[in-house]
Amino acid sequence: MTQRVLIAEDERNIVESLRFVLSREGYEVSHALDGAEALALVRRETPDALVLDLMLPKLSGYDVLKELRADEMTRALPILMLTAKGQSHDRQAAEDLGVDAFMTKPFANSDVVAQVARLLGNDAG
Amino acid sequence: MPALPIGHRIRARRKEIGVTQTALAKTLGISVSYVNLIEHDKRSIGGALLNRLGEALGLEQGALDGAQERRVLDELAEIAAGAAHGAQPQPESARDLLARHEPWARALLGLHRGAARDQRMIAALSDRLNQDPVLNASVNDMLSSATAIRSVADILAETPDLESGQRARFDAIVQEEATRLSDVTRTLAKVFQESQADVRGLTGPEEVDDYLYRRSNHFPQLEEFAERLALDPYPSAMIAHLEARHGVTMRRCALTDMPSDTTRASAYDAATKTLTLAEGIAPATVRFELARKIAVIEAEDAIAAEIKDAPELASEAGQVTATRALAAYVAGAITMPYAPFHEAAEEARYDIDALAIRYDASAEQLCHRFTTLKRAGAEGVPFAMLRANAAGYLTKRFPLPRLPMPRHGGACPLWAVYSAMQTPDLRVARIAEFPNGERFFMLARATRPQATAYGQTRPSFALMLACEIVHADRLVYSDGLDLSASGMADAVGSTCLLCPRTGCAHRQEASIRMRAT
Repeated sequence: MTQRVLIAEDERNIVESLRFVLSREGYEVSHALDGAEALALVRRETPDALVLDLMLPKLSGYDVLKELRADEMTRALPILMLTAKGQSHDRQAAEDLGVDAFMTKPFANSDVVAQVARLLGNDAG
Repeated sequence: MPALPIGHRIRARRKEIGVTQTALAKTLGISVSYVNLIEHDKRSIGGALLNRLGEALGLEQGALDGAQERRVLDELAEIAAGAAHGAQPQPESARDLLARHEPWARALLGLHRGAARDQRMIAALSDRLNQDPVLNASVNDMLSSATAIRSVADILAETPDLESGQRARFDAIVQEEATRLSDVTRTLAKVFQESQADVRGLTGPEEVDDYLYRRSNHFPQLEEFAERLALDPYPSAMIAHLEARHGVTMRRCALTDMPSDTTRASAYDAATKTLTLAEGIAPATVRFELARKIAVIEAEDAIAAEIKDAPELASEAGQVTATRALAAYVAGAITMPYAPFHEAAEEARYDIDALAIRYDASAEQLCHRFTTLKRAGAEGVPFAMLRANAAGYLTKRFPLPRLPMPRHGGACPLWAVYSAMQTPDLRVARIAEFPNGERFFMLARATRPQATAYGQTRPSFALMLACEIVHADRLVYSDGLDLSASGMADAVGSTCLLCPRTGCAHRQEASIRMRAT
């Protein structure tokens, strides 16, 4: 069965390239342009993994993360956080809130693909 | 820190220029024995005689009464206070350093000021990097563009079988993001250029402080200029004068519609020759702003002549700030002409409310004008003045030779200026005794200088005048206070760092003088 990845990112061009890259890897990709939309889509579409930007309009990545971790239904959702903030306290704050992986911008597509594969258990072989 | 006795200086200078006691006595119109008493510090002198002595000996008053030296010594004490623990020199040794190695002492002051300026610059830039919303947004945009470009470039390089429509789309993304990246870079460059300008501005006020101090905040040529102008200091007359002489018109507009690049109540558009004054500002401010405009136009050369060659005004920022300060000085001299104002002030015993009505002036304008009353033969009470903002930071200062006033940050929390902040419109009159036993009369009140619109925070300041206790009986505010040496007084200092008092409930940090002993 095809695994589904949701990209929550407000930069359309980044969404477009990530969608292309992840689709080529065989994932079914959807996207949200703000934090509130991301929460709604996670609940409606129940994706297998979430690529979550930190600086999102309406609800920040931190807020989305907090809500998802507080909800029994979404507590275990694998989340890769993307951020322009690369400082150690940002990473620490995200880890404290229960993020599974953390990458700073700009990143290589291959690294994003590798992280998503790892979170979904596709990296064994 | 006491300076060398004045008599010692007079004797040393007289001998240096080869003048006998008899010749000096004749020039001054006093007896030889009186000169002798002065030189042995058996008679205290001040006022007109001190001025005449200065002229006779070719010395500025500040050099003669030790005020300049005292100022240097106070600053050296501040340096001692700030030195790393364990390496702190005894503040008392500063006088030896100044006496024996004056160029070294002055070089040290220069370095200290430079370091203080650099620290403020670093703090300002650090705050800017961490908090500036434009900078934060720009960095975020830059990283987003770089991410998109890198991601798309990876795709273009690693996907040879890319369908042509898709390739064209990714090419367009690279173009779009590259344009955005260059826009952001330009914004960032502008932000950094502006922060450099801010930093340069830090040196200006300090240089002007030094300059006004050396000139005792009195400028005879500018006073004469204002007197020659003999302008009727009423708004209607000044508006007519500006229009007839210079083609400058005045208009009023709502404070919220004032140009956004000015925080002041007035703005001037040179292209249309229009002076815009905000509605709601006090009539005293309107009057002062009109006089300031006249000063800027007509006293331009006189002001330039004053600041030309001033050694303190080394930076462009210092010269700009000094030009602005002297334009305000001329405005004060236009609206409150020296001779009648001096007479009125003495007669009213410096009653600010009475003079405010008579001259239609604000408390701050009057206090400023008080500090300039130094004309030989018609001196007013020698006042120090300072202004503190709501955070307690001293934003304006005109020092007095014997009153130790901190150059940076705030003063002793017991100074009247801080008590005034607690109760707007209440005058706080106090006698303050410094650790060396010198007493000063301090008068303070809080003021809210500018009307604002809904949603804007109205600024508030406290103003303080201080004079030596011997002059306090000339002020209406001292009535009812015991001005004798045994009268009640607040035990104050200059700043905690330099204050040797023990057991003070208001102490915020340890004193270098306590640590040193």
